[in-house]
Amino acid sequence: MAEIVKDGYILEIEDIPYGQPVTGREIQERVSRQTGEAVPGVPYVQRDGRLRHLRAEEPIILRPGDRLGFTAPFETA
Amino acid sequence: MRDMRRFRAEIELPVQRFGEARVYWDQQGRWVLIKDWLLPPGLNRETSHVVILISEHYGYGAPLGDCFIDPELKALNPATGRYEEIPHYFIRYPYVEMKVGSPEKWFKARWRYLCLHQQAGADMAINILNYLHQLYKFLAEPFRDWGSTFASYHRTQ
Repeated sequence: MAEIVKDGYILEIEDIPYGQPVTGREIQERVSRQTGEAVPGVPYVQRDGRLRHLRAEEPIILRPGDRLGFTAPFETA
Repeated sequence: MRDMRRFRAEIELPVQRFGEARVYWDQQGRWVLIKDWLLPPGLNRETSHVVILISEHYGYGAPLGDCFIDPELKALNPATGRYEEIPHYFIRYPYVEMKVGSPEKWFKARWRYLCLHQQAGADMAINILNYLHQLYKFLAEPFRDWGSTFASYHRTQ
């Protein structure tokens, strides 16, 4: 199951298994459900030291060693 | 006016993270400098110095929104396979009013402005380390359309 760093703790998210496609929105919803609070921002996957953020409907197949996180919204100009 | 008690307490976080020798700040709390800040993979350099300008009303809900980094940074664009100019990375400070120095002074001191604004009310603690985290994430994917990425999570009910 996927791991996420939240508030300095590493959590295992039971509803997000490896080897199956999952979208950014599903990651956000499942992490919110397990942690019991809404998770703001956009999920990202850290793989081999690189970050890849996910749009809401963008799927990804997670694998062992991937680390999930969230990025709060910001603005650029 | 900044909340200087908050600033002085908060400055301990980057000092702990990066070490005393790499963190400098203005006694009036107008800026923080982090030396040799580690950049994400995909850039043409491994580190950059970073100056974060501290908002005038910092500590009273004002977000952080201005930083300067080294010049001559480029990022690998996965679409072209080439190192290219980073979006939102200005040779000179692009706004009219500047609270610390002048656009010319920053330019002559070999800093480039990167326009990344925290959002007030974004349900994230506003602090210097979180700003650095967001800067890191932006630079990890500088060619991403961040506006539409964030917007894709807004459900239409």
